[in-house]
Amino acid sequence: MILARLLLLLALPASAGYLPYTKEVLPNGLTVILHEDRSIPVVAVNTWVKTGAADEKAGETGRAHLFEHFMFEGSEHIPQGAFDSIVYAMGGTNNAWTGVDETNYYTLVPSNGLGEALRLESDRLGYLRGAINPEALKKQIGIVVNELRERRDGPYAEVPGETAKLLWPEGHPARNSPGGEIPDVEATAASDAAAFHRKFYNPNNVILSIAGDFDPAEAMALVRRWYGGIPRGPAAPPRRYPPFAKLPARAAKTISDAQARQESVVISFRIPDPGHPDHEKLSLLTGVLGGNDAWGMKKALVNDAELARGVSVNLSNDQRGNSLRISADAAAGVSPARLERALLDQVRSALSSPFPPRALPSIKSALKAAILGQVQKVQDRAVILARGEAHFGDPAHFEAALLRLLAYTEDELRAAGAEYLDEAHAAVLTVVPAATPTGGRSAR
Amino acid sequence: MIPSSRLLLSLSLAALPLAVVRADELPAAAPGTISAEPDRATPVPLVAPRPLAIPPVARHTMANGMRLATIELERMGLVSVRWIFPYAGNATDPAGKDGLAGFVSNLVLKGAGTRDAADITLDLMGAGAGLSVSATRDFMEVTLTAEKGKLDEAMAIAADVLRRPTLPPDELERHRRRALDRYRQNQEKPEYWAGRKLGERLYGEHPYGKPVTEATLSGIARGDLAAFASSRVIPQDAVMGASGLTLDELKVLAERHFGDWMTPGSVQVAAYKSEIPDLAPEAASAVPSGPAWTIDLFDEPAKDQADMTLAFRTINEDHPDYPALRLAVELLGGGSLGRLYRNLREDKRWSYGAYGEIDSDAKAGAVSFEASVQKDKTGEALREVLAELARIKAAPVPDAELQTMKQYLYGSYVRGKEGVSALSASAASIELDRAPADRILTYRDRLFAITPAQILAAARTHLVREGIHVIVVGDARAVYPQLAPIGTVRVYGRDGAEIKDFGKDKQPPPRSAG
Repeated sequence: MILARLLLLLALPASAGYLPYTKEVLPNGLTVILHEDRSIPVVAVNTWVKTGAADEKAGETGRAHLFEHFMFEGSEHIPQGAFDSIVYAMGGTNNAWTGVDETNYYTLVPSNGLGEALRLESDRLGYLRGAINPEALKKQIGIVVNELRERRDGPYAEVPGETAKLLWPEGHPARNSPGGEIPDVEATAASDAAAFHRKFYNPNNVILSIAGDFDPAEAMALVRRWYGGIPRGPAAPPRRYPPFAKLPARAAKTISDAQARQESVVISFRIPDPGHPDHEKLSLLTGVLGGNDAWGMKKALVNDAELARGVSVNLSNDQRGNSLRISADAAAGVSPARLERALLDQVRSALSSPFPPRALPSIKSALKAAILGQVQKVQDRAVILARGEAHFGDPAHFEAALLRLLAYTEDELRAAGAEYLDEAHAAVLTVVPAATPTGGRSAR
Repeated sequence: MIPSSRLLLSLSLAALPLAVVRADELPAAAPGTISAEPDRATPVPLVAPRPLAIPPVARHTMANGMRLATIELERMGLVSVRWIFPYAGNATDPAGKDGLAGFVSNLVLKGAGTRDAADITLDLMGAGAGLSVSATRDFMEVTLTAEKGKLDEAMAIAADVLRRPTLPPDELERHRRRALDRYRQNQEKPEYWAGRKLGERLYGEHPYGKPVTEATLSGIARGDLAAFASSRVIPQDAVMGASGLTLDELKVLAERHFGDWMTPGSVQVAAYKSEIPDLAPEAASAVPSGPAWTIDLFDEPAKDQADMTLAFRTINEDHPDYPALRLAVELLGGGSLGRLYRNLREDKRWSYGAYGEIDSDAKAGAVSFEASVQKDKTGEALREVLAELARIKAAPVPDAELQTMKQYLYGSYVRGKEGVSALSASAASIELDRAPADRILTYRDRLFAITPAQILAAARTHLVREGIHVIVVGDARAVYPQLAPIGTVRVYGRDGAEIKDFGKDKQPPPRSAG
């Protein structure tokens, strides 16, 4: 049956329903997406709030992330500490993340717990402000600061932040780090938290996607019951979508890293945002460039020339401020400058000669299998449907995108690469291990 | 934006009367009053959970001794197949050749049958397939995921890899250069030395604790690889677990690709079964306590946090106390419900998280607890972990706490059965253990039958407190003074060598620029 569906997918011009869903917008603006799947008795309740790091202002970074933590501290009808304990006692689990564009919460429960999960989730969406207390906020500030310290306490931890600074000008939304800056987080007051909730945590700024073992009619009735009475809030502040432009000129920086042990080079190019066909073409092109044992940088630079210990090519998938990134670790005795030259030469030769035989079809079939692999779990399905709705107004966007990806030609990929992967407009970050006068070396 | 059929569907759902909703979930609502706010302070009553419905494992042993097991559930047209070769783990590396099983698991993918490394890559991609090979302590594990319609093609590649590896000499030398390079880089990494020390503390000279070194990596010859591949990656006793296939479908494919694969006549399977020495669990009485207790501290001056690991060896899952002990470890370190997390993160706020786990290998189990803590709180955090270990041995766990943990563990177990890859792993492990075909379905009853008294007894017998091995990576100048009152602290530099007089006169340690 599923195989038949696969064949259909290849034949039909539009999305053919890997993940059948229903979508409805409640009168208060809440977008509800339901996907029924009865494989295991579990339901994923996913709450996608359209606020992320890119919505933050200088001096107020980390608000979305801190608030994400704060959402677990109880709401007007759920005592502090009860959210987690109720979910766990049902046999469920929950967590959340803060991204560039979104703050996303998920609660996974056995299917008999859907009603209770919706009571919990709707309460913190609609009734959090009355429960904000400075002590709980102080606790979460402490935890978030530990999280940021832990995240930044390792080799190459500065690479994402430094790359963003090279790529994007002051004030660009993509320059913010999703975690936030420690002093900004520490300076957040309870009144800031309340204002943040009022601004972004309204049903009209939220996508609720539910996937798993339920009857859609019952689930929709439960959603109306728990969310229907939450009033619509003010529209969220309009988002800034800076128009695409290449980096005006090459930008380069070298940083020294006390915990790194090898030189590393990260070359980034600005690219258009998802939804633009060139973003899709470039996502296929990463497979051509990065390669494997048969072609690309992996074969040429890691296997054959042994200039690099490892290389990866990937592109970001945010709503604004995207880039394609080539990262490589230099082999012993290879200078970062030589490695950078070799990487850029690889880009040039990939774009100026025919792709290796079988490369593009192989990349396409591997990509299709990878996407099927990514929607094995109801939680992943709930997220992919919410992301499609948030970014494109189409929960099944990934299906249509897959069809387009399977159709792009070598020439189209090459043209997109030539347009954006121009070394005169690259941001190049070099990381060198810090000299180690305090290297903890034993005297012997 | 929405295809019209979907829009119609959602409209028609919206129009459904509330009468279809189960009455027990809607006590306050009546048709027409859906916008009135429900009673938010009262929990929604739970009806009985729907049981997990996973088909039992279907199995068959082939004439060559390969044991097939499959769970029929398919998902998104993908299937997964997992082989376990029980005589090919890295604990069976011959003396002086440590790292051999790892070399074999890498190199079988670099040439097999008539395919070279590039062909293997391309052929797998073309079949929408992924193939991974890894050596664990006790086994070699091979996992194949593919689109069901192209499984035959994918399995032909896997058969080449397992049966006909060509082990190309140039690929061997490249792999060796890489392994040596990684080894040399590790020489400057305190976390590498910390991991190596942990193995040494837990397992001593036993194969489980033996490190790979420059000498062993340099000494592995192509002949060693060929001998290992042909004598240990064998069908006899190997398990082939699958999901997404009926037993008949699996049998057809297995016969086609592996039916004529025979274990070489010279291989003595009986000898393999007893070749790894036994390890007795460390009992509380057998390890030193008080001042003789050693804390190994690996200096990384640039670190802002201190990464702490506490570990000891214990029983493995062959022991009847294992399920109760595992529950005790979960009560301490099981995610955000665990006592350590609630203590160090939620209460003290010294850490972003603290976790514990128990592992079961063929010859021993091991318990470990880990936390990354503010470096100025390392000593206090260690004392808290030790206090929690003492507390769980002092009194039975309260019923409510235990109930919640059991529900949480069962929920995680159910979610862990989602997706083809999880189910092929279950099928393989059930067959490997020769467990009942419905083991997945009886898990809940087995878990909920464990009593507080059993947990307390297991904790008292098997959870060490004094003499636990403690390994810390952090800024030694800040951390050492906090640990010195707790045990005998040995400090090591970035190169893994002990700094003998560290902390003796409260002066910065001697350092050289070299």
